[in-house]
Amino acid sequence: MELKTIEVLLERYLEGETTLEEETVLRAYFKKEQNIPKKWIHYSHFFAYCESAKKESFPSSSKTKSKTPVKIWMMAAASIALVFGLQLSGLFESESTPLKQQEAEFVFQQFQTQMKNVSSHLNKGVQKVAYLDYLDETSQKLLK
Amino acid sequence: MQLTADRTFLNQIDEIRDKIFRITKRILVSQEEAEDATQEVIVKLWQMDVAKRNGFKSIEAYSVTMAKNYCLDRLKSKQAQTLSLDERFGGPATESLQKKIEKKDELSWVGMLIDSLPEKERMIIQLREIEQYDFNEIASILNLPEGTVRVYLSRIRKKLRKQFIEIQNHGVKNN
Repeated sequence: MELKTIEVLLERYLEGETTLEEETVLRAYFKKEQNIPKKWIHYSHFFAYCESAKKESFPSSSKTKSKTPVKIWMMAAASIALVFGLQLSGLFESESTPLKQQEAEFVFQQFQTQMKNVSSHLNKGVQKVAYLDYLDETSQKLLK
Repeated sequence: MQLTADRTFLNQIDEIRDKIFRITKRILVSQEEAEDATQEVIVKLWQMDVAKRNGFKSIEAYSVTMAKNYCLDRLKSKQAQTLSLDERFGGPATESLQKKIEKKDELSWVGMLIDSLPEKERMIIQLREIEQYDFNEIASILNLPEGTVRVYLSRIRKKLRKQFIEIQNHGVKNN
């Protein structure tokens, strides 16, 4: 009995003749009915899609509304953490200045000696290259 | 006076915004572009003269029409740039769409099928099947006679039905 009415409605639906009320009847049928004939399964997918698509909302409008209180608390917590963090690090810094300076000086000295080493090796290399040049010249002469 | 007018407008816009967003997204397909378009339309409504705004029978229908026109202009300027690409890849693209659809679940393949329709058909589907507007409202938004809207809708419904059945049968054969 109901199948017959649905069938008639579907035919008119395909012809673009159904009213919004009749289409609501169709939607309700496909949403509720458990045993939908196989030939109509695609209608239930289609109407289900339309229903879910109607719920989509502009992204930022819902976000700003629901998250505002949470955001304020987060911001308060973050600022408190920041203040404490700055204070702590400030304390450490004032205490550890002499130690850090010593460390820095030591590292700088090490760096200096390393650079000296490098430059002396480099100079040696330059001398060898000069020697090579000399060798090249003499061999050129010999070839001539 | 101005303030209360602004407040009523904001209340109206709150309800309309989501609708505009869904419609622009259906036409433009891309989420980001739809967000931009929605903002743009709302700014335009906002800047409009209050007396003019209140003069409309339905601000909703007017905003939807505005959103539609805005999106179609957007598409036109985009198509001018990418026409050659579309022409070149028109064939293979539909084939891969079929393959993509098979892998997805039902709801997302319905969405993909709708989004693969031409923009005019996408718009009609959105307005009727999703937003559930009356035929005369759709006719005024799209600036078409009511009879034409019915004919279009019937054609699209049959076309979609055919495609749904094809995909279903295809899926059954493969399994």
